[in-house]
Amino acid sequence: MSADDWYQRRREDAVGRFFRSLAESAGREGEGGSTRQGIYLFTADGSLLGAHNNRSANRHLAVAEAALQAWDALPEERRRPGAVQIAPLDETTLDRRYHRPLPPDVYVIDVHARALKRDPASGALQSCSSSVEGVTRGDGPSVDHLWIRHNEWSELVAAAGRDGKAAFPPALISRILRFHLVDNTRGEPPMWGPSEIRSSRLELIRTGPNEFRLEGEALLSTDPDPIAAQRGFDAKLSGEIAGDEKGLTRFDLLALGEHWGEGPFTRGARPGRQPFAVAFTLGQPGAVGHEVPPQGIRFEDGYYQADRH
Amino acid sequence: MKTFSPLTLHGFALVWALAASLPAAAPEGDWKSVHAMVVPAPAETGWRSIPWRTDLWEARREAARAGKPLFLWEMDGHPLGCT
Repeated sequence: MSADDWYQRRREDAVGRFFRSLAESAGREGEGGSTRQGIYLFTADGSLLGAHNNRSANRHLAVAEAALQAWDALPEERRRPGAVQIAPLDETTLDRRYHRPLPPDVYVIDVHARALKRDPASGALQSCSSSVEGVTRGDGPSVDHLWIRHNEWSELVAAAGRDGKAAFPPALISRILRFHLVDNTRGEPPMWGPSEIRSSRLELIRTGPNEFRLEGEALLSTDPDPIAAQRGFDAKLSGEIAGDEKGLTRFDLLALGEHWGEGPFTRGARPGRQPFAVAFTLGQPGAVGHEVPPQGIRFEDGYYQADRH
Repeated sequence: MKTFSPLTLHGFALVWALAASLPAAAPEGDWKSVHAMVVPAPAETGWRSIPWRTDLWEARREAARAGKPLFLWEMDGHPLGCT
């Protein structure tokens, strides 16, 4: 079981109350609304078996083994299948402010960012590895999801089919830029504010029946002058999409360029401007984590209407 | 000793034991090759082999039916969907 603490610790419903009770039994009081993140092992009826908040794999295993021993020590009548009865939740009682189930009317696009490096001899791009001097985190690809509403796609593809090409609507391109062209390879990144989109273009160009090319560029920076900006991403956008008004069948998009800077929770960025890319692909329903909401949707209206908030 | 399967602990250890395979180099002008390099390689997605649940209440109900304890990985930023 895996969850986002930002939602769980705030929920004013049965789920939130259960989690907070569990965390408090582990001494995680969440003073002042602070994080209760960590690893928890417990029984279905809420008895804590073990907990900690440490990244060490050895620590995970030690705590889990101790928790299993505590589980085995419980009376059989508490452990046997069906010994505990938990009623299903009434969906209408859930705290919608902090509950983000996968809506039926969105396409899920998998989003992965990766720090790159240039081969000194050929100039070709390569994935970073732990052998890169000075980089201790952020070597791997990040994971996030972009949600595109069905009607946004159907309106966009209809326009491109009719006119040969169409610009992404302001709400959608702002959503992609502000919440997904971010460096989340080392932790929770700062999202871009509306005014930090210094320039942008993303067009869908028809190349064949139900086939389209994506072209565009984006400059995101914390200062109007990108030279002076503490953080930025200057990217070219390229891709291919397939589908029609009834459905999206392919969504391959790459944002590639130079990224610089870091946020409060993404310390450890490489110095200066460095090659960086974000890749988008159509998600697969049923894949593990497919239903996990975008990191940027904590304020739901602000995510969908990213050009207005 | 019981295992956590399907809320498995054994698979959980994989998250920290991934051996990332590095994709080949790609020319900057070849966006498809760069795209393929950025998308996670199979060796980087071992965590997807674990059937993670994301609904705490339903996970409790499933564990109760199965007679198993639960393992919860809770982070600021969803572990399966942020970073």
